[in-house]
Amino acid sequence: MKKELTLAILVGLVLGFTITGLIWTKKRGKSTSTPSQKNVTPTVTQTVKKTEKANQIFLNIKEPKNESIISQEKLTIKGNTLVNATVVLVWEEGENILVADKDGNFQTEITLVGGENEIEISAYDEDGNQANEILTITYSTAKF
Amino acid sequence: MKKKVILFIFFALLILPKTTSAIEGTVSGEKIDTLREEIKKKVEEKLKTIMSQQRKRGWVGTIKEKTEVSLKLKTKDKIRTTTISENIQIVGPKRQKINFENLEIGQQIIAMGYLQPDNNLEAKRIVVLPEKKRSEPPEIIFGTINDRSEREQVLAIGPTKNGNQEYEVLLDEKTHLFQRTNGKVEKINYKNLQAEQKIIAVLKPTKSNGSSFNAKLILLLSPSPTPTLAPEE
Repeated sequence: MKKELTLAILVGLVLGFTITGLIWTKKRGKSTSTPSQKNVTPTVTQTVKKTEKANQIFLNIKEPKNESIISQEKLTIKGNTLVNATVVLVWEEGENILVADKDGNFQTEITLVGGENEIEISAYDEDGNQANEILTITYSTAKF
Repeated sequence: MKKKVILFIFFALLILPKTTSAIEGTVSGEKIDTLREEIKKKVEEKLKTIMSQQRKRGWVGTIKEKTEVSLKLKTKDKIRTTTISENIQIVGPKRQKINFENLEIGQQIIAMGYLQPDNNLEAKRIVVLPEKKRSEPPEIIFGTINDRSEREQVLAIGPTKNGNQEYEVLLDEKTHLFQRTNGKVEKINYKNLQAEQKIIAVLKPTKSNGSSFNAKLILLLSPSPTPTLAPEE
């Protein structure tokens, strides 16, 4: 009788551990495969299409924001206008002329002077129609 | 007895897997929670920095009104209010430290600080700008070359989109001359400029005469006329 009982306990234990082991292995496999599955899952990117009125000149300065405080001498100006428009930048220390790319984007770097910097940006289409923006940027390294 | 054995086996099968997975679940759950908290903390810190950077503003304007705790500034487009923070730093026109009491109506300043939800600026630093005679800002014009001097580098430009005024434009060695070709900007010479061509120019009024301008930059928009061979006689 004792033998039977011991055998039953042993069988139970073996069975229990085997099944536990199987479940644990399965779960582990699942959890390790999750990140790679996540990587494979395609991310949905929303592309916002801008609806621009054809041939109407516009000027949108993406960077920097007007009245920003900049702590570096070099400043990158990024913007968007009509495709192939001519962009003229005039500031305290110089001037620059650019052509917007096939998407209407333009980008340039200028050197700031300490304190107040006024930057005039004008975009022209081929008929001379113009869009204009003036940025006032403060160049200061002071910490506050 | 058999019943007992069967019951035991049944419980062993039923309880053991659940216990182990429960233990495992709590451990991984705790780890995930700690990680989540750490990530949340870092994201919040980063967001805070970005937000404060985005709210950092510098207003340039003239002091119109002054109270004990605020200034009314006439900036380029409107009159705005800036409040004074407790530990404000104020720098005078000669870069010396001054007190709030030293600020006067009519002074031009840069107020630096953080934009508040009510769109007022909480100033942390004020810099009084020195009274300097501001030079005339450059003028950007779009126009057509009416006439071109052969002797000197002088152009008559007009009419333009900026009005009907004709501009007498003087070029010198500092003038940058460019042409637009195939979406690119290339350097050109004075000889490439011809009458009836469209241009964009950045001009500065000359000191001597209000109607003449120095060209800082000229961009030729219409292509240069291609030289044609004279027919042989």
